[in-house]
Parts: sequence; structure tokens; C-alpha cells
Amino acid sequence: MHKKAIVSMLVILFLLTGCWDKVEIEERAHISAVGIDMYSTPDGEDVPNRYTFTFAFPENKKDNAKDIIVASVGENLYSVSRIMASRSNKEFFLGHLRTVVIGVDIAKDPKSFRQILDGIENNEFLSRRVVLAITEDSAGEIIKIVPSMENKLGEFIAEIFRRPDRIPRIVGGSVGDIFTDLHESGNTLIPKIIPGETDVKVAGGGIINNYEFRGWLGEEETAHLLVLKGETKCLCGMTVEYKDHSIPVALRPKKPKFRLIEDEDNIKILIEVEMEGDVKQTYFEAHDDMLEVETIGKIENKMEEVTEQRARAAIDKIQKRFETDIIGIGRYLRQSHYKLWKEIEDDWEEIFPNIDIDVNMDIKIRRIGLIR
Amino acid sequence: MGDNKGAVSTSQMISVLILTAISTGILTLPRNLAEVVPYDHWIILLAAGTFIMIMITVYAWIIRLKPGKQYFEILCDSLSKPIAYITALAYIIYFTGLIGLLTRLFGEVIKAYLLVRTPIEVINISILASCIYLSRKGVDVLGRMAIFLLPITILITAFLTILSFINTNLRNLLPVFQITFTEVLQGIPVTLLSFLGLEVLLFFGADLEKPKESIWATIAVAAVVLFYLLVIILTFAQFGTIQMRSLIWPTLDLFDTVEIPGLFIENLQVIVMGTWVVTVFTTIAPLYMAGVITAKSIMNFRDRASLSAPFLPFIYFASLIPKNLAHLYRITSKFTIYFASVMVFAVPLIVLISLLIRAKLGKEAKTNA
Repeated sequence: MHKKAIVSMLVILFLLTGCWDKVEIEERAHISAVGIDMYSTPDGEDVPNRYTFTFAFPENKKDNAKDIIVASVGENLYSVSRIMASRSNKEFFLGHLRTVVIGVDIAKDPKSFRQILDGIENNEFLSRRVVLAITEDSAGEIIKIVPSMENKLGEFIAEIFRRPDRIPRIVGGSVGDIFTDLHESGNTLIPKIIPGETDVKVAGGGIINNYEFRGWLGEEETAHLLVLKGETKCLCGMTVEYKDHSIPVALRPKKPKFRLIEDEDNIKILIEVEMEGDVKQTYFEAHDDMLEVETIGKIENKMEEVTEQRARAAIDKIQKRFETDIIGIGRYLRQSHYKLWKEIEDDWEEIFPNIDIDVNMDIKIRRIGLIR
Repeated sequence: MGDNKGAVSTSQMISVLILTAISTGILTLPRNLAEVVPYDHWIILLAAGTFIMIMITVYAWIIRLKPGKQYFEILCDSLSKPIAYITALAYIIYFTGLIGLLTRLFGEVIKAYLLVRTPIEVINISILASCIYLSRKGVDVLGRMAIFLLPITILITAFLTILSFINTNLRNLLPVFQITFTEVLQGIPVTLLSFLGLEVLLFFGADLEKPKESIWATIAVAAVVLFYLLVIILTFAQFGTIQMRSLIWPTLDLFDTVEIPGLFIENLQVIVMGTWVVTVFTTIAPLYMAGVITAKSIMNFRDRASLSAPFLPFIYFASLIPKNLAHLYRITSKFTIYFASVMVFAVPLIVLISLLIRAKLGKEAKTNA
């Protein structure tokens, strides 16, 4: 009796189990970075709906091997990764993709841009945590760079973004956040990536207005924009001129507060940001006396002036030159002043450049270093 | 094996009901709500929860009036025999259809996210086969399984919830208190799919250890509403209303956004899918069992175990009716609004009213005699 039971169980074990989706890990190419460019013919003509996809994936079995780079031309991410199957002995797997870099030419054409975006969002293996960056040069060239610190470029870029202490000159960059912005308003800021010899630099961002590239936002302006959006935890690298020498202060902004000021003629928005700061350096034998409360008060005031001025400059550029609401004022109005928003929603694109935006910084210096 | 061999305790009943209600509806609930109104989705959910609570009270009342009786016998007592046969048949069709749709949706989701190359037929038949295995046993086995699975599910869900709260922005839930009464009424029907399954209480009533405590089933509704509230708040805080409308399964995408530096697994979705498969199984199995119980009562069959397998082909073919995902969702919503609402809300209500009238007439007859 027992023997029969055991035999039938073994039969069940071996005959009724199976797996259609089994993949040997060696047979997969785990793509870590993808670069997407507009395809142009050798004569330099751009061809609509044709893109060059450059893939980077690590070589299996070796620990410190460089990435393997392959490139192909095709219409979309899916078909290209399928086409690649006929050119390689491995299955292209996008589940571990970390970084997507797109050339600015794609973003300049809203149709291409939206095609590429949906290709990313619709892919079941692609995570929403993938970093999306935009470059002025060729995205394919960036993928080919081998950073001296880390052999795998996809990993390298993704880690730059993940470090919390990085200088806030770059936007969050996760494709999920970018999708949220684009779904809501069609406007967003995509981090800009600049190639170097043996590394890449991420700084500033490309402004997208209604799915179309509008222009580049500089590093400084991006940093201040991020403070206004509450998307950064440090505003390092700010200095203030005090008695003919400059004093660097590390600032830690808190979440900003938006306020709608009642005004009959125009919409008035006041953005208030509280920041804490540490003085990092003064001047050798300067006799400023950092132990005087008044001295610190003066530095605080100066710092407030400087940051407010920079923030206003950034707002001015975004509002007047790019006319694109990437500060999130539309979102604020929708969330907190729904009735007003319903009235202006349809014309928001025309209204935004003409509203009054003011900033108010409140800086409190907490630590003063080790020297008086 | 007799049906009343082991009775189901009250806590087992509550666990069964919670796990039965939570299934595929959870994947689309946030989107369906976002399509109705851009704000105050939680008010709709609370209103729907109150409505379901009333229905559960109706079920519990029926069970209290006729303790220990099968639902089919109650139908016979209240609606007269011919109508009872037709109603019971309609229930069987309802269960077959509902399980078929749930199975198809289950297969579609699994195929989209996990097993891309596995044929959907294999996925469907495997989940149905495991449900047959469970429904061959009594309701008490189901109760024991539910009380074993529920804490695990809650634990995993709590873990996931805490993790996904890290990146969310609660400002996305604004504005609040903008909703009008008509919008609430419009919103309630779309939530009904997420509550289907609670009617199994009627069919398991005969197996309850203490039929008088069946009113405690409202606790199950409260737990389900609480769980849905949590999911709604999390998904809306993550995606906002506008983006929500373009996501097919927002609840699954939610866990795709969670990133925890230093966590040993990169993709939380694996855990989510694992838990979700369990909740779908615990929805299909009780529904299957309820269908088998009804079939057994109609045919006056003694052995229930042998009745469960013949259901499989019908359910399987029902699951193949929809042509694609869009068609599946259209059929499901029509099924829910026109058929399920009758079977789940109207029929029990009529049964209760008829029982109450009969009880009153009976009393009067006694006093007159």
C-alpha cells in the first residue's frame, strides 16, 4: 500500500510538473543601460520613426569585465530587442535595466518622444525606478563610455542618482516621476547627462513642454528649482560674500510651503522655504567672531538675500523664457484651490507666464565649525 | 464525507469572508474610482462599505432565522419549490460565470507579469485544479485554511505597506470634500466587483458552528474596507488621479515604484504577486465550493466530492469567452452590474422579506388556532 502511494507520488512529481518560462541565467543578456538616438542616414538626414538603440550588458562569468556594447536600428524598443535575438546567442532581458539615455533630437520631436516614452512605460519588465536622462550629444556615445571608477555604466549612472548627498544640480530622474509629471501636464524636467573621457557628469536638465524639448536649464537654476519643489535635502555649494571674503554654507532646505495670495488682478503665489545651515569655512585670522549672535545674524540675512535672488532668477527663466510650469504651481492650485483651478485649467499655459511668483527664504545657521 | 462533519467557527468564517472578497478587484479599483471622480475616492469607498455592511446583515438575518439549513432549503421555504429550483440554477450559472471571469483575469495578469511564455490554458487549469482539490473537502477545511493564510497575508501586506509609504506624497490626495452626493452614487457600482464573493456566507450558513454569531461577518466587511482604503490611499498618493486613469493595474505598478536601498531583493513585485495569487485562490475556491454545494442540494446528491470536478469544463469555457482584456473587462462590468447585483443583493433581500412575512403569518395562524 505504502509502496503504491510513494510510486504514484513520484510519478506526479516528475510527470505533472514543468515550466514553460525557464531561462538559464547564462543565456540572458542583462541589459544595464540603453541609449536611444534618432537614426540618421550616412548623408546626415534624419529618418522619422527610426531610432538607433545602443545596449550595454555585462559579460557573464567575469567579475571585472567591461560591458559589451551592441547597437541596432529599429522602430521601437520591443522590436529591436527582438531583432537583437537573431544577432546574438543571448536573450535580451530588460528586467535589470538601470539607465535609459535619450538624445535630445528625440525630445525635439514630440511624436518620436511620445513613442519612446510609451515604449518604456508599457514594457512589463521595465521598472519605474529606471533612471531617464537626456543628453545634448549622442546617447550611444555615452553608453560606450567606460567609467574609471566602475566598469558598468548603467550601474554608475544609477548610483550617481541614488546618492543622497549629491549636489542637487540634478533632478530625481526616476522615470516614474517623469511619467507622473508628463501625464498630469505634459511638462517636466529630465536630468541632463554630459559625457566626459572616463566618466559622465549629470547636471542641469532639459525642459520638456507639452512633450517637446524647450531648452536647457542650467545647473544653478536646477538646484534652486529643486529647493522650491522640495525635492532636495541639501543645497550645498552656496557661498555668501561677507566682509570681502566668501563663506560657504551648507544648507538643508525643508519642504517648501506654497501660498496663494488674495489679489483681484492677478494670481500671486508665495513660496516659502525654511533652511538650516552650517558654516563650513571663513577666512584665516579674519576676526569675524563667529561666536557673536549678531555676526551669524548678518550672515543669515546675506544668505537669504543671495538664495532669494538666485531662486527668483531661476523662476524668471522658467516662467518668462521657457513658459513651462515645472515648479508645480499648477499641481498646487489643483490640490489646494480646486475651484480656482477649474476656472483657469484650460488656459493655464497662457496664464502661467504672467502670474506673480515670489519666494521667501528663512535661513537659520545652526553650526559654525571649529574656529571662532 | 458529510458536510456537517466539522462545523466552522466564527473566526474561521470571518477569515474566509475577508479572503474571499479580496481578489482581482483590488488591481483595478483605484483606476475605476479615478475614472468616476478626481477626488474623495475614500468617501465612495466608505459609502459602498456601508451598503455592503447592510447586505451582510441581511445574509446574517436569513441564517439566524433558519439556522443549520442549506441555502437551497431556505430558498424552497421562502420562494416555493419551482422558483427555488430556478433561482438555485441561476446561482450555479452565476458562480460558473464569476469564477470563469476571475480565472481569465488571473491568467491574463500572470501572463503579463510572470509567465510570459506559459499558455494561458495551463495557468487557468492549474488554478482551477487546485480549487477542485479544496472544494472536494468540507467547508471546515476551507475555514481552517483561511485562518492559516490570513495572518500570513496580513503580515506581508503590512510589510509592503510600510515600505511603499516611504516614497509617497500624501498631497496627491488633495483636494478633499469636493464630492457631491450624485457622484458618490455613481461611484458605488464600480466598487461592487471588489466586494463580490461575500455572498458565500449564505451557502456556508448551514456549516456554521454558531449561526447566531453570523452577524459578526460585518467585521469581515470592515476589514476589507479598511484594506481597500489603505490601497486607495497608497496608490493615489503615489500616482495622483490623472496618471491613475492611464494605468491598467495601478495596484501592481505601485510596488514597482518602491525602492529601498540595501534591501536584499530588488523587485518587490515578486512578493506582491505571490500574495496576490494566494488571495485569488482563496476567492475562487470558496466560490467553487458554494457552486458545488448548490448543485448538490438541487440534485439531492449524497456525495459532494464527486460533483466538484464536472464543474471544471464549464468554468474553463466561461473563462475563454472574452476575446481580449478589454472585452473581458466589459463583460465583467456588465456581469457585475446586471447579473451579480441581482443574485447578490435582490434575491437575498426578497428571501428575507418572504421569510419575515411567513414567520409573521405563521405566528398569527398559531394565535388564531
